[in-house]
Amino acid sequence: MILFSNVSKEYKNGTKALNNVSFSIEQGEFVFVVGPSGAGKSTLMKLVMREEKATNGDIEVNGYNLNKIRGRKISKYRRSLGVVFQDFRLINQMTVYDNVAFALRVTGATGKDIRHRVPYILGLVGLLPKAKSYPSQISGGEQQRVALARALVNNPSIIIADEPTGNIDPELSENVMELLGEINKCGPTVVVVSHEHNLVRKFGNRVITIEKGEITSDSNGEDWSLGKK
Amino acid sequence: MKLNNIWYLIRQGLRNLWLNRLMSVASAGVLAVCFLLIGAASLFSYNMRAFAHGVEKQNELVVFVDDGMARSVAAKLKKIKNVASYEFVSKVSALEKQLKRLDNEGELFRELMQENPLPDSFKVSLHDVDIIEKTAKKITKISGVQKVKVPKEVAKVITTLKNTITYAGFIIVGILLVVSIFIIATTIKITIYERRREINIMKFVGASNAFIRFPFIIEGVVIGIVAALFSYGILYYGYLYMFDILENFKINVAPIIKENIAPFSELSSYLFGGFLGVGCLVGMFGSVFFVRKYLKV
Repeated sequence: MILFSNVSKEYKNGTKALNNVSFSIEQGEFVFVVGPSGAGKSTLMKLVMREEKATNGDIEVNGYNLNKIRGRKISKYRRSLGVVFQDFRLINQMTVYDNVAFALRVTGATGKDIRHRVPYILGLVGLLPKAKSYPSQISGGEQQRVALARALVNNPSIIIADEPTGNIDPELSENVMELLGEINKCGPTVVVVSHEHNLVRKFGNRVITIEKGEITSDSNGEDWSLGKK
Repeated sequence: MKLNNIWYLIRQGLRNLWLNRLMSVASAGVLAVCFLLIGAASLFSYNMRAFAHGVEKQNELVVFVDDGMARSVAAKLKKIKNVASYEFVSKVSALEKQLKRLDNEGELFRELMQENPLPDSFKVSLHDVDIIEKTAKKITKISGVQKVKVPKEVAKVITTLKNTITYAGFIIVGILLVVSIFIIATTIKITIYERRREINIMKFVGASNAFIRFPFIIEGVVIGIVAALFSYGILYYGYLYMFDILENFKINVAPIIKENIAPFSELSSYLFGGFLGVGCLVGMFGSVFFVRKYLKV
């Protein structure tokens, strides 16, 4: 599903963000990626989203070789992912409904599909009553749930969440993680980048730790809590 | 991009125009001001040329002919391409004119004079004063022509004036065009820069470049059309107002200026077509060009 083989990433300014990283994540797994600031977590996410290209090594996600795809195929590839960002990245000039519908529209979905699917997904995340609100009119936790709804609406096989609880309070954070757990149970792979160890301890199945651009541990949640690698 | 999205994207473009109305109005305003400047410079230059042409027409050759040859000379003048028109001045009326000019002394001359010393003549106006000497030579060769009077200096001044107006017109419109493109480019750049986050989000959701660009193109084209209509309207009414002032002699102008003002209809189709075409193209290509930078993610 997600396969990193000896991946290194060096930015143009000489910063070495990842060094010879290899791992694989299978379909249906729930994986946390943890590590201190500057460890390379964000770079890893950027590589998965094809925002950046690896300097060395191979990355394969959903059958796409990310070193080789370009142009339209990148858009098509991104539609197979559901991405949730720390800063939500909602379009402020669109309503909650339109933000979610947008992810469907880019796939060429018909009006009928959109009218059917969007209310269903908004219902799942408990935001149907706020469908006509604008992002600025709802709370941070609600905005994150909109982002989650947008990530889910295309039935992606992988959900990538980059610090999804970074901008919301602890109670809502658990709520979002529970939601991600529920989604995972329905089939999609979920990869969560986080630095909140409490959440990782509570919800973690598999935990990949990155430090200074290298994977320092890859263990299940329990072992990670006990400090075993 | 699928067909069922096109209507959505058109609506999205129109909606964005309203949501970003401040920038939309600013862009359309900048474009309209540029059009106004270019249009005003074009109209001014066109009218100056028309005026120079009017002066040119008044710049006449005087062709003196032998007695009884007026009819045959007139027939040959008609065949010369550069001759715009000619007017026959009989020796009798020429003499009357001269005597009138001399006032009391003229009456004295009339009493003393036994026969009319003046020849019949033609006042010949030309299409192109640049080749006045060549045309004068042709006329001299016509049998029955005594002499051709050529106002060389005036012709030179008019030719120089006409050329200066033409070149100055081109240079001014050219400079305005370059400045306008720069200003418009900057305005579009700012508009799109304000919305780079939105473009970025769309890219991460999996929107294709065409899907993102399309509403921007619609916005650009609409802004171009609005700016074109607005500036055309202002030029039209402004010109009519000016025309009205000159026409009704509300201000004191020489008749030659008044007579040579080009009616707006002579230039209207060029201005309208030009504004509309340039407006749409600038809006469209400007949007495509500047959005491109933010699509590279």
